[in-house]
Amino acid sequence: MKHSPMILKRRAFLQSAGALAGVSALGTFDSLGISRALAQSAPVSDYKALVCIFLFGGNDGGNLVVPRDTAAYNLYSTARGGTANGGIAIDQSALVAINPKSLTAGYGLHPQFAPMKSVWDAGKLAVLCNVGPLVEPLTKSEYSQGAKDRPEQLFSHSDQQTQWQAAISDQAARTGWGGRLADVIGAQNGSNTMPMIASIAGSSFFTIGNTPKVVSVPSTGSFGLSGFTTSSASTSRMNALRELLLLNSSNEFVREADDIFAQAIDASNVLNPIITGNTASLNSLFPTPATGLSNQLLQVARLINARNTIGLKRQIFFVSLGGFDTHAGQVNTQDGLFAQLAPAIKAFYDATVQMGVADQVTSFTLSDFGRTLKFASGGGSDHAWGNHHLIMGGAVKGGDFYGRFPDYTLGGPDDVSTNGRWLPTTSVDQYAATLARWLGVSASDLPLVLPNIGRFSSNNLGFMA
Amino acid sequence: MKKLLRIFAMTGLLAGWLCGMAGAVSAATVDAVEYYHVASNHYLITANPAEVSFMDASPAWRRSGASFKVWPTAADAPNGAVATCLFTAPSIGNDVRFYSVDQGECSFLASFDLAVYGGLQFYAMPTTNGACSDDMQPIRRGFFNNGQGSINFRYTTTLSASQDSLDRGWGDNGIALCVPGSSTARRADIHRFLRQATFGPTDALVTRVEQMGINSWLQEQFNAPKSTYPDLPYVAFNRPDTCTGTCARDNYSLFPVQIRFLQNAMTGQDQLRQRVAFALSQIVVTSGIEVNHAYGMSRYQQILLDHAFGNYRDVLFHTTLSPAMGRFLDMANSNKPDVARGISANENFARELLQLFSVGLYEMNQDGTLKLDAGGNPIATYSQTDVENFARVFTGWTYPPVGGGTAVRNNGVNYESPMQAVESNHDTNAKTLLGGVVVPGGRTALQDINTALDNIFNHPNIAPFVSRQLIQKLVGGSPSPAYVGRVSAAFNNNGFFTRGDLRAVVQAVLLDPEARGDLKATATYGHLIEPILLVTQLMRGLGATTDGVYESGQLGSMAQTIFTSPSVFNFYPPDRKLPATGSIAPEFAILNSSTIFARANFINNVVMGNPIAPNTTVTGAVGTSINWVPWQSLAADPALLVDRLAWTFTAGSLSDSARNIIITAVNAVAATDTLTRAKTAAYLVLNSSQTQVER
Repeated sequence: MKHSPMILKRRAFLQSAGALAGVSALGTFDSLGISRALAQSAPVSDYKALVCIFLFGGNDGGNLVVPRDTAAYNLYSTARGGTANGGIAIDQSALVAINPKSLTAGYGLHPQFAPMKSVWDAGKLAVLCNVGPLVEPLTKSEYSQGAKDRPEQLFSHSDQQTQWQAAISDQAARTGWGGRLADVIGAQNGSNTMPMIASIAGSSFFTIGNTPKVVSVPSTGSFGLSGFTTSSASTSRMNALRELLLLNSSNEFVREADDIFAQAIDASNVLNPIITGNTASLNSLFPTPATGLSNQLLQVARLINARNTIGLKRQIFFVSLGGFDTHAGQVNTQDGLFAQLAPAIKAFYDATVQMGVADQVTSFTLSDFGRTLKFASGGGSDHAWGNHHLIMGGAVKGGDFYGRFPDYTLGGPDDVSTNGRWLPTTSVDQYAATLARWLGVSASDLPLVLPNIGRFSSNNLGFMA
Repeated sequence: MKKLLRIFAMTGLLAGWLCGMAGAVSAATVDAVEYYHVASNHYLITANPAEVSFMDASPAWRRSGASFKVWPTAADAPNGAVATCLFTAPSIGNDVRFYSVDQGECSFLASFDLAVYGGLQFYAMPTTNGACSDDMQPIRRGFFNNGQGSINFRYTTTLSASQDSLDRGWGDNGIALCVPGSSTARRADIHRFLRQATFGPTDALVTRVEQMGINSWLQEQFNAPKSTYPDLPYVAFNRPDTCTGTCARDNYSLFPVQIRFLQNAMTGQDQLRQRVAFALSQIVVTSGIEVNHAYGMSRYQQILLDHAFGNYRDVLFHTTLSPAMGRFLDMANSNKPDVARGISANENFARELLQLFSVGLYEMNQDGTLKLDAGGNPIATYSQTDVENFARVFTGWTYPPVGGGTAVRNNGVNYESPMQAVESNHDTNAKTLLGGVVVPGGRTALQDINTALDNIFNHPNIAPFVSRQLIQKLVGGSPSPAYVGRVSAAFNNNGFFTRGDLRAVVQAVLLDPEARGDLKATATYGHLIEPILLVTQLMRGLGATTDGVYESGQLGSMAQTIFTSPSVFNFYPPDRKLPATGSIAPEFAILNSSTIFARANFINNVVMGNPIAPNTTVTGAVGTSINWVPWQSLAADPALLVDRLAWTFTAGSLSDSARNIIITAVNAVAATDTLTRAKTAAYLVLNSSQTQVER
């Protein structure tokens, strides 16, 4: 099946008016600023990609990164009820020992992260401590007294997922920061009509920008329309389908569905041969049996491998793993999930090395929220706030912790409750800004991606080279 | 704007053109077609076929989708019909068009210097006492003037279009014209109604509703025999190593429940009950992600079928004590806090009950709009402290002992019957609920639950919260506040002072003027049908026979595996907006380039492909097949074939241009190959976004 990219171009033209309307409707964003950014983002020649790994449900970062020195470990273990009888602490001796360069204290990664030890040792894996949604910098006393705005609906899955993906916490956002990032630096890809964002995990809020520019690719199998041949009846049917997509209905929902369909057909013409082609050398790096996440990351690797064919110079990928809402039975559940996560990201890192793009691809984790340090009935933990996250890649200044590691005392200086809900000391805005700057957003354009970044003292946390 | 001047130059020719037609044999009516200009937000109608062609070719204008019938000549029109006078105002705007059958209005307009007489146009009937007779369709005239030179008239055929205009700042002139009434209006309404109230219109159902009327059919549905889910026995939580293949499929996956869901949807007589239960399953969510034993999910879904026309308080009670919910949201075996060991009560069920099943995050007015505090901010319905109090309410419940008896300690997973209380595990301290209501200490686990559910059920938010979601799931994504308010009122009082009566709520949802009426032609009306409804509407509309086995397996790639949403937040959020326009469009959250191919390829496989053979490992399997003979009998006349399909699948809303494209493709197939003709037409109608967006 062969199509010209006509559908997309025609659509892009038809949509230009709508896209501008969307920009000006943003309110907090200045539409002139967007156009200035678009005008100034010249096409670039080098390749860079961000890979967002979303851990749905709220990963318990408290068991991802654990204090290893005895006094600190005991504080941790007590809060978590120890390692037996429904307690959810990780055995001290089982931790994967790591020593952050800038700290004197010793820490440990969850035992399932043993495959990532070499990446940490090579300085390609960093931890960002106690990061989370904030409206502005906030102290515990300001929180308790209600002296400053706090993020809307803390501890709610849907709201906090959205806030992590929007990097906006003080109002209902319509776009994600990945989508806005693509809005602002899309012009660096020149006139290429292939969407800059590819999701291998279906639709996500993170990828929504002001203009439709995300392609959703399945993690396995082919990607395109089936059932067409070269017969004249079949050709007529295909032509009719394409004409239907161009009707430009007055109904906004019909138009939106047509746009998504047309864009999918155009994208599949380029991408389907890539993802169904022979990628044996990449495949061999990934775990067998494959997992959902390893298949997603392998698909990302295939797309990066074909970067010259696709022609995009800046890309954003979205993958995800769900099941982290460990209210009960956390120890086994999280162990099983990390047994998928760690080998998959290790294989992906190895793939970027094999392709010679390790320094040009940066992967990072996001999740709904952290979880209470205190354990809950049923051997789990409840919804909390600040969390620890991982950043991986050749351009990461790894082997180190960034942000500030919180005090694990229940009801202590970092806990806004008595159950171990940390008040973040670093905002999602700052986390996103550091990655956005690396991908190619200028400091002056940063507020277009992260409208509240100016409220925080630093827009670069220093974990990227 | 130059093009518009040319339109008016042509308009001058119109009278002469019509005179030329008068002697010829003409159709009894012609279409007055409405056009929309995006940049100016202006409308224009014309009944002149030459002008229609001209406007169709004008890139700045597009058909709004609305049209109505008028009489072109006096000879066509009944006694009493009047030729409309047309006035334009080129110096104000080239798309100003004032039509009237009122001589007083015509003379009045003629007295203005800026008004230019455009001659007599089509014929229509004047109103009598401001209304049209029963066999006529009323056309309302809207008027827009922003005070800055943007002036426009609009002629609307439906209440919703008129309401849309009012919402956007238009004035209403009332009913200006009466035009030939079309039986298509009622037909469109019935087809749309059946898309909302069933798993898809069939010819038999359309005929039944045409004969009975919508209201009587609803009463019939309330008493229709109830569908059931299979009554499966308990199985051990962990799959024995000896249980593989079909044993694993039939006990340790949702397969038997999923195919029964589709079989019920295909042939069950209680279509409305099933649709309401399906809607409830997407509000009070449990998921096969965690509840993946067929016997567990089967019992849970039966609760929703049993109470679909019952009371929402009962839905809350029975789902709260369901072991499936107990496992999904960890209420099962959540014990009172253990201060010594530092264990707190599990908050999962308490939080989601409040956020997703009952009152929602923010305080609402009865029309679903948010209440705001003095600073203009939304007001949280509950706090983290409230969640912790409710979590303590729900402590002390466990699974029933296997084989019967009374629970005395935390039991392992058993979905056979409701959870049981172990009072020694229940927190008997006092708790403070919504609105400061205090549950005194020392009550039993069941007393506490009933007090807490009453507290929630009597919160003012529950009516708009549940009503809005039921509207969204039955009718569509972005109901007006007034619509939500009307349904909330039915929730609050069914007419007999009963609160939460779902039968009254469902009637209010389906009989509302915003759901009923003629073709819905406004740009903002409609919603994408979710994958499960795409599948069932296709199967029922084409007259397929299926056991649901193949279809059930295909829904995952469309992001809607039956009863298996990714989390308690359902398959898509109720407040998802289109990025471009900000309109609420929940189902678009799962439409992307992967899922749209999955939808298209599913249509391809069942429509273009051969019948799907029965899976011999499934008892009573029949596979999937479509009887194409009735469709093939229409294939000699592609227009007739496409029109029939368009009625079934688009409630008459397929546009003329889409219709013509599909007819052309059908004509490209040899007339002798009636099967491929029928399949080609069905493939294209079903893949059209005009089908997949329900209007």
